[in-house]
Amino acid sequence: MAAASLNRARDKYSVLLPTYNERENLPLIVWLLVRSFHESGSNFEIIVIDDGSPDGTWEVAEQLEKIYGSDKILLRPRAKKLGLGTAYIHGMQHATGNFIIIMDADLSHHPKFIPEFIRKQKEGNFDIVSGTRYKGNGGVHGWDLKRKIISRGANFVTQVLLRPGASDLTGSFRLYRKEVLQKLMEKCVSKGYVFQMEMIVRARQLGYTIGEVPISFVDRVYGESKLGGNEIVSFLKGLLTLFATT
Amino acid sequence: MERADLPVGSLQHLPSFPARSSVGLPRTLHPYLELLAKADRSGHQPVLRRDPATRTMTKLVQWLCGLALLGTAWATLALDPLGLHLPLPCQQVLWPFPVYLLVAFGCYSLATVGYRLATFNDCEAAAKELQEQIREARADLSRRGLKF
Repeated sequence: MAAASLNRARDKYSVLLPTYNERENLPLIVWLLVRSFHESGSNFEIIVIDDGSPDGTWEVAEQLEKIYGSDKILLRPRAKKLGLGTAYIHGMQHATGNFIIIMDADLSHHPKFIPEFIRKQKEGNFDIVSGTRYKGNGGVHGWDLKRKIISRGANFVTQVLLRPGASDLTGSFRLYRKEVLQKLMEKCVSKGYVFQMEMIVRARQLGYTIGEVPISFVDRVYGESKLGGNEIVSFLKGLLTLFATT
Repeated sequence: MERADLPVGSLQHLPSFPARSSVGLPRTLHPYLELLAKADRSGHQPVLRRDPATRTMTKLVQWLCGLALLGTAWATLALDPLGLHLPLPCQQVLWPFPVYLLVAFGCYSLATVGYRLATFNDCEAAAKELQEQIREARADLSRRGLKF
C-alpha cells in the first residue's frame, strides 16, 4: 500500500468558492470543509474568490485566513461582480492542487460529500465526479412542489434532447481534474445554469469520463431566490442552443 | 477583425451566425469566430480545421435524421406510392400513427416526470444535521477568535 499512499500524498484538492454577500455562510462552509478534509486525510486548499461584496465578506475571509493559515485559505478577490465562469478561471490560476472542486458557498452543498467524491474518483479514475440530486439517495430539502416540478421537468427535457449520460446537469457541486477543467473552460460559452450543463456535454464530447455521487441539496434561501419566467426562458434558450450546436 | 486580410477560400466553410446572439452567448466568443480571431491575432493564415468535437453530428441533426427516416417509412407505407395496397385495417392504423406516437410520448413524459417527482427524496435529516453543525461551527469559531 506504500505506492497508494504515496499517490494519495501527491493529490491536492483545491476548492474554489466564489462568494458574493456570504458573510454569514463563509465561516461555516470553511469550517465544514476543513473538518471534512481532516477526516479524509487529503491535502487541500480553499480559494475564496470574493467579488467585492458590500456586506463585509472580505473581513470575515481575512479572519479565517488568520485562523487556518494562508496556505489553506487563499484569498483571491476581485473588484466587482464578474460572473461565475470568470471566477473559476481566476481561481484556477491560483490553484496549486491537481484536482479542483467547485461548489456553492451558501451551504446548499455540504462538504461531507467531498470524501465520497474523492473515493469515487479514485475508484473509477474519473476525470469528473458530479454530485447528483436525482439519483440514488440524492435529494433536496426546502423546495416546494412548484420548484420540484420545474426541476424534474427541466431535467427530463434535457435528458431527452441531449442524452448526456449524467443525471444532474445543472448541479454545480463537482470535482474536476485540473487540466480537464481548464480545457472545458476554454470551450464553454454559456452562462448561468446552461454553463454547468455545457460543461458536462462538452466533457462527454471530448471523451472525458464522468462519475456520479448522490448528494443532498439543502436550500435555505429559496424564498429569496428567483426562479421566475425569465430564468426559465433563458434556460430553454440555452438548452436549445446546446441541442443545435453539440 | 479585418476579413479582407484573410484568404478568400478560408471563409467558405464558416456558417453564418448572427453577430448579436439573443441566447446569452457572448458575441465575441462563438467557437468559430474565436478560432478566426485567434488566427488573426497570431498573424498566420487561419486554418479552419474543424474542432474534433464538432465532427460528430449535433443532437439536432441526429433528431432530424431520425425523424426523416421515420417520416419516409410512414409516407411510403401510408400514402402508398408503390401501389402495394396493404389490407384496410393496416392502413387504418398506419394513417394516424404519427399522432399515436406523439400521444404515447406525451403519456410517457407525464408518467416519468410524475414518478420522478413522487420519488424525489426529501432530505429532512440532512437539513437537521446542517442546523446542528452550524451551531457547532459558530461555537468553535468563536472560541478560535472569529468575530461574526
